[in-house]
Amino acid sequence: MNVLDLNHIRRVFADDNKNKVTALKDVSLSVDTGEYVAIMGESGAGKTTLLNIIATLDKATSGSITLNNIDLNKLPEKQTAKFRREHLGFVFQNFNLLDTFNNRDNIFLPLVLAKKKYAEMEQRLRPLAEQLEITDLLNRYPYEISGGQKQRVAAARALITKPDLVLADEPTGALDSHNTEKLLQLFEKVNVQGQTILMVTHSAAAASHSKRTLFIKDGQIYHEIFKGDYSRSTYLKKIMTSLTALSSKEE
Amino acid sequence: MIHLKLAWHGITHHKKEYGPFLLASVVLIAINFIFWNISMNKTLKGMALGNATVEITNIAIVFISLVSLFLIFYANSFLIKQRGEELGLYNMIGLGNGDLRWILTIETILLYIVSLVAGIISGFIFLKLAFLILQRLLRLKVSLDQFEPCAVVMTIIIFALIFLMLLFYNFYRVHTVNPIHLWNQSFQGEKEPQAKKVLAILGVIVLGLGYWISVKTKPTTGAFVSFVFAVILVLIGTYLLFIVGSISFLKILKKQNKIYYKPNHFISISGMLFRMKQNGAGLASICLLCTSILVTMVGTLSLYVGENKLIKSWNPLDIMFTTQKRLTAEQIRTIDKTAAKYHISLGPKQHLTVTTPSPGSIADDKFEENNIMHATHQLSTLTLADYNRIQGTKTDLKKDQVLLYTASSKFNRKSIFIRGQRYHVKKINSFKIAFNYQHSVFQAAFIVVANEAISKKINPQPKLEISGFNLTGSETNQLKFANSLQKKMKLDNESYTAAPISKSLFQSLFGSLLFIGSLVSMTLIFATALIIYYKQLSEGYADRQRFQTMQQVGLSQEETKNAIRSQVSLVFMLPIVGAIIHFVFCIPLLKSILSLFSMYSTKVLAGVSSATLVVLAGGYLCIYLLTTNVYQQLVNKKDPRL
Repeated sequence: MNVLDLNHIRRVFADDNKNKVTALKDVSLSVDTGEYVAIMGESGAGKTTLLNIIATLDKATSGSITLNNIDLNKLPEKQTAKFRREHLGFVFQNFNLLDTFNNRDNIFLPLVLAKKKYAEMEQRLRPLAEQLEITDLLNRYPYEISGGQKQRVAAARALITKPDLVLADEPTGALDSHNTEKLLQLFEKVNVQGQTILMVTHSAAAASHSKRTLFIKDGQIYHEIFKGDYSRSTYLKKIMTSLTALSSKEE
Repeated sequence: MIHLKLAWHGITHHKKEYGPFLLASVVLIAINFIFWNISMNKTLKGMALGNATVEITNIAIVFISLVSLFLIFYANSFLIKQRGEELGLYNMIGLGNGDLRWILTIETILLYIVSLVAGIISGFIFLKLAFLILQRLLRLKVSLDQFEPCAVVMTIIIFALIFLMLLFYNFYRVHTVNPIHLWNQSFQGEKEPQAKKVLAILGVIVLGLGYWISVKTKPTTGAFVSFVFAVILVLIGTYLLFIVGSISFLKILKKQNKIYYKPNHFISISGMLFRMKQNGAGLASICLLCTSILVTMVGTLSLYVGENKLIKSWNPLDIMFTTQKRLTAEQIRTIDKTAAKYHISLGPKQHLTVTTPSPGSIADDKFEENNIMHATHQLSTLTLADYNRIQGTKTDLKKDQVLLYTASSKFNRKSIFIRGQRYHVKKINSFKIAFNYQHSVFQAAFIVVANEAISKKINPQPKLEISGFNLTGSETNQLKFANSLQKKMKLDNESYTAAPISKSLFQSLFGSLLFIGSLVSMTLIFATALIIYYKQLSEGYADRQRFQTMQQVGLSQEETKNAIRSQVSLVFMLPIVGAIIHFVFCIPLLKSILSLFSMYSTKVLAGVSSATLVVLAGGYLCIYLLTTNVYQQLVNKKDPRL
């Protein structure tokens, strides 16, 4: 079953009629339940715009998009926040944890907004915290822990709502190689457990953890590679080759 | 040239910060200018009673100058925080400390000149109005309107000093702060504040003590000392509670999972915990400012409104003599002759013999004599015969019966115990010659007894002869008559009281008190508004990132609005609620102070208090709503990243 379906999505930014910028020309893609998709592309290729449209933070100029059979174009503005809370989990490059909450409360935030009972929140947190190895950090504040730890707390916040889709925007962008590896392994693990993930990344190494990599250029999907039965290193090589091809075409 | 450009850029590109700063200094300069003009007004100086106004104005000038200094520094602290980043960047790019100082100097001079010109022009415009109002309040016939060039010079000097201090402070700031640190400051997470329970409890105790003193203070000569003491305690208590107590309280709330993990509480409690650390002092200041506005306005308004009652209590009869011996025929002839000269007709001459009042206090059903530091009442006795003659009644009294009159009648016992003897009491609500001896702090109490012997027993003090009469005639003539009569009869102020004299005294005294009080209150209100504005601004900046993250995670626009409203309103309701509580506890003390002016009317005080409260709360609400807009705009401004 498809969690996410995009058909001929087009997004044009226009301050006035003169300065039109087409961020997305024509994007169609679908993501199956349990898939782990990486989206790669250079700066300005339209990755972030695509992610924002999927995240209901932005609306497409034309084309259709459904998430879990809900038409996002028809979603009233007022319900987008609730929709995000219930169906999506977010992991950001700069973590976006709130310094006014300790880590536990940061993770609880979406559940509190959904008015869940405290006991239920605790119950959901315990196994998750164990899996992400953050049990000891829960009572500390985001400013007291390292970047890698912050990103795992942020991941816990994304996963605690059991979302239909986790959207990760350059999740390893601010991490060192050790923590990058640790986070990617974690993503793989939760994906194996059935979590659908869509990740935007610059890094071929990060993409090589996914099951499928999409390449986006000039607002269009340009190419895609499935991991299939390839080994990780072969998959990585193929991604690198595609990236080189992508940039050489320009010249 | 580059320095001028950068300074100009700094001001024009931070309108949100510099605008209110300029507005504040313009208003403060205008008010200072008006005060100096009053203080130097030649017409007022020429009048005997105008000097009171000038004296009060001089006190106000000192106060307002201090407020100006404080406010301008406060506003500056926000400016320098915002500008710090920019100056840090300039420094990194290659401008030396000297260059930065140049920029700051040019900036300060620009601000000074602009606010001075605008301030004095607006001062000019409002000066006419101010003099007109003052003239009305003092009920003067001559126009006060005149402009004193010296006032401009004084205003220029005082604000030059303030801006110079500001400049040196900013030099110091730029000198001590490492630009790299300045630049990174906004990215660093802040620590959660610690709850200091001991200090919080101390705050409660200190504040409670202040309240207790206020409530317990009797209207005695010592009341003023208690007042100052209570004010200091409340001051300390307020700061402690707002800064430390609030954090402890929020921490307790946070520990209650059921309360804390509700969407609105979750956001506002966590937000406020951090907020109180930075803003506790600011909120406490707002609270105290509101309280002082309330106290000033209620105090001065009560006196002004209660003026007629006060005159009545000082002068039950328009002219009153309090002498050891009865007026001689000679003296009465002088009175009649003087009256004829000023075209005054006299009412019937009344006469009464009382004992010299003895100070003491009426507690429960006892009158106890004490020394004047602790006394609340002064009791004198008169005989039934005198009473019936004055009142035109035919009351009967047995030997163990007395009639009791007090100015503010709280006594409701059936009997009273005086000097080892119990008497049955019949309360009376009016007594035509209930005068206040020597216009003292003490409330006048009169006991009417059956005969001379009992009178002596209750109050063995020597006799006083009270005589007096009412006046009819034009107001000016009455005043002239009263003044010339006192001179002719060679009487001092203790033995001679005249309503026309008191009236003109009160009019100028209370009128100028009210005028100055209102102007000072206006300044304080303005100060409050400015502090609130900067609070909203800084909180808006601080909260922006926070709310944006929450919106990404699933907080809707609607919920954001609600959360902001509940948090901001909580933060801003605290000071006004605090001020109202302070004020309520201050009322007993205020009453005591007012009774120094023989003002006992609870009705006047209650009316004036509630009117002032409504006006202040309304004004506060307006300021709050206007400034919340700024906050909402800042928080809801879309992040370009989204």
